[in-house]
Amino acid sequence: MANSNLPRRIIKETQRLLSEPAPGISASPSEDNMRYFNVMILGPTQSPYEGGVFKLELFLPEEYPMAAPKVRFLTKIYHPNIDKLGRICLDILKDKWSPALQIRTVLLSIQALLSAPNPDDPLSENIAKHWKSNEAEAVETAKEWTRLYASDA
Amino acid sequence: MTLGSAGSSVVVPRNFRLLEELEKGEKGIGDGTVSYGMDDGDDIYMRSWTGTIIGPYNTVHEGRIYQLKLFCDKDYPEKPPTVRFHSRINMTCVNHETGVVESKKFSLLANWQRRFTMEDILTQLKKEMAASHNRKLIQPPEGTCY
Amino acid sequence: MQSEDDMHDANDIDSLDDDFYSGETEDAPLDYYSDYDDEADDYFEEADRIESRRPEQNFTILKESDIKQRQEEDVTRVATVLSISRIFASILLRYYNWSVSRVHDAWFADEEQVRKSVGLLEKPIVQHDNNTRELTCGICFENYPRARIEMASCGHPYCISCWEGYISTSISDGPGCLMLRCPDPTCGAAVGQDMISLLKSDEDKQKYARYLLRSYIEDNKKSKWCPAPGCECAVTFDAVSVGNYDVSCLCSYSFCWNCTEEAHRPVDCGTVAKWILKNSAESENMNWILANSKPCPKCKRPIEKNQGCMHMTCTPPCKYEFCWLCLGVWSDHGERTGGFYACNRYETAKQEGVYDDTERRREMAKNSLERYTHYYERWASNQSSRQKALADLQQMQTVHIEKLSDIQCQPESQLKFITEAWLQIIECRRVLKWTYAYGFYLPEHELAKKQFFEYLQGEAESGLERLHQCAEKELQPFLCADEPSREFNDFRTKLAGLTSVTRNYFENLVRALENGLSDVDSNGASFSRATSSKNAAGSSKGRSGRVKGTFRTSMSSRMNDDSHWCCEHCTYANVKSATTCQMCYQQRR
Repeated sequence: MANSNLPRRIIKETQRLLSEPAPGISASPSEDNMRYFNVMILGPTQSPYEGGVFKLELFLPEEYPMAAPKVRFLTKIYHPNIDKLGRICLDILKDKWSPALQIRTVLLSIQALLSAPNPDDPLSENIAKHWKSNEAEAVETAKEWTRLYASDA
Repeated sequence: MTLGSAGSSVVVPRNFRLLEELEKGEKGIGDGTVSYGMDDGDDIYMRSWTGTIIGPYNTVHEGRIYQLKLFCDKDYPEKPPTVRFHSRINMTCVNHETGVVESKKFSLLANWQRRFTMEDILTQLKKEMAASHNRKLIQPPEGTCY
Repeated sequence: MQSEDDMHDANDIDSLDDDFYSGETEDAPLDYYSDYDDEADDYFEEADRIESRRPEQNFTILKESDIKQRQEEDVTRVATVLSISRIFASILLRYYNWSVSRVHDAWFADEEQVRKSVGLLEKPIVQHDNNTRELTCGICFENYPRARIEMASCGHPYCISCWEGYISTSISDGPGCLMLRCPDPTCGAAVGQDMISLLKSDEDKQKYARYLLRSYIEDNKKSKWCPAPGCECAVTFDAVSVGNYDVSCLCSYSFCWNCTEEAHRPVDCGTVAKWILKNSAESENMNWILANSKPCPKCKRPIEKNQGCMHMTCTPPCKYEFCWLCLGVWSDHGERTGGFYACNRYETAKQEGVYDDTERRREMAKNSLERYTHYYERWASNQSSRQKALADLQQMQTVHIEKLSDIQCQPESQLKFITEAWLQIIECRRVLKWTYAYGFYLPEHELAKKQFFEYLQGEAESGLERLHQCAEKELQPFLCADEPSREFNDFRTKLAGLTSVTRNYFENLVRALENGLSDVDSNGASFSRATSSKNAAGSSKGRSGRVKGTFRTSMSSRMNDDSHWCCEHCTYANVKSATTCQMCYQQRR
């Protein structure tokens, strides 16, 4: 029932995600809900998240693609634009969403966000402060968290 | 858009449904006589919640503040959360020893539907407090807990 | 006496002035303001000469149709001058906040840059072969025949139903839809009104049209909406003349262009903002003041204020007459006892004896609240009187005028003087209200200025009281009469006269206050200066010419004047030769 009337676009996107996955990203729909995806993103090289495997969940709301997908991290991560509940502060998930964007582009943007944290537009005040006052130390914490929570996922 | 999108074939998964409820609770609901929030900000699964009901006018509950615990397990919202009063209250649907809201005696829980929310539970409990069989019951001293 | 025709001409102020002030009673109407003629009027005469009387109207009220027309005209102008489509012209104008000159300047400075930042592409980014029969929609990924695909100037292809979804989502997000770009995030081509017409939903189209109309007013620095609730007119303000920002909308609401608060001449915007802030800070303390009932000072029964004027009469048997503002006996007010209207003044309670510091500080805190309370109460009372007058005017226009026309056998056109009177009352209540904010912020140490201000304000208060009372209470008998009353024409003369005199006084007052009472120096030598200037002003104007010989300081001196007698009913000072009162037509006793 949940998967009846699934828009052609979602089917096509899903097929492409499975057949031509983006490097460092995997996304597969859940069996009982084709709008709900289990996502893995590998920590980008030369970022504090390198070596980590981050679990996310993604949901395509009814209005998709006119409205953005909903995404959050399930793996704990130390990042100024991601909060304790794994919610992500990213413009294309909010006012910069365009229906011409896709699941793939969203996940690539999240991966890029891991490479380039933006403490000037923070979701976690404390982490952002840490990042701005002592970046080296903050990066160490991020590495530590990656080891603690994102290894062997 | 209503939470849970009743009548549509799109099913909002548990976690995103709870995130919606969390955001609505943070914005504040209606006149503020019922409210809720998450207990543990670190719990990625958002299981444990505290609800508050301000006793309705023209009842013995008027002006009292009742705290409740709601627990949303992995099967929420397919199954209702467990609901338990933290503040002592004398009400027909509440177990006298434990404060648990007994689903047999509270129809919203007995006839639970996926589209119901924690807000619905709290609002319905507030209505229940004002029902004729509850509005005049003698109450335990204010501020006591289970 | 004047002829009927002359008297009915109440719309023409000048002719009314002349008729009313003509004949033996030439100096009499100024007595409405008892003694202001000798000081205040001269003061005003001087002000008259310095400033021109009525400034040109520097605003235009636009109805919805006018707004649309102007907008269309601007679009056409830009399209013609730049040789671009009207769709592009509209996008450009929106981008430059509807300033035609800014569009021209930017375009001719660097057309390429403008096209880039606004998203008006000359050539598509994506070219489609004319032979292509099917295209894939970039949103739903379905293939469609060429006819089912639309694109902005960039050429990115989307099917009509995806365009619909895209545009209507954007419309429901707000006025940002006017700046819509192609869905492709790398593109930035502007989406214009031609795409909006693809929409199936009329509701969305209307919403978009609404945003476009609103944008023309709201994004344009030269225009604003009338702030009155329910009013759909807009105002464009053409030139900023010195100081006068008052705008009067077609809906009859008057407001200040500069701060969009209600019109507040003679007080400046800064004072209004301070006062409104003060009021909100003190609102809790002031709530009790807004209560509509006070105990009768004599019998202590609660009296509800349900009329506009401040003259209260307790219910029988008490019938005590008192002033709503100061709760003092009414006979102490105005000229009746030769005194003057003084409950506009705030007198700090005289403190005698020695205080220690704590006590003095407590006293000062109390006084400061008391002082504010004093001004606030009077401000608020005039405000509610004004509201009441607005309602009364409404009632007058919808019910009473017609009734009165029947009873008194007068065509409605001959009853305009009543409406005029009420409009004047409403305007005066507004001015008077703001004079209390003015008074509150008048520096305590400028004693002479303060005294003179209070004097002018007191005269204004008392003059308006008379007009308000006449319009409110003296009209009643004529409304209840069964047949035409002989006295109705006298009532007309009196009310029209009061209206005219009050109008003049208030216009002068506004100008004087706007000048910051600049003629008064703090040492207090102004009164004599103003008085002596009278001769210089002399006969330069008809009115001041007739003021000669009215040098009286108070009502009491007039009563001792052998050449006049004072009417027992209305206190009007009549010339000795008259046997009936010129004002109320009662026989002399």
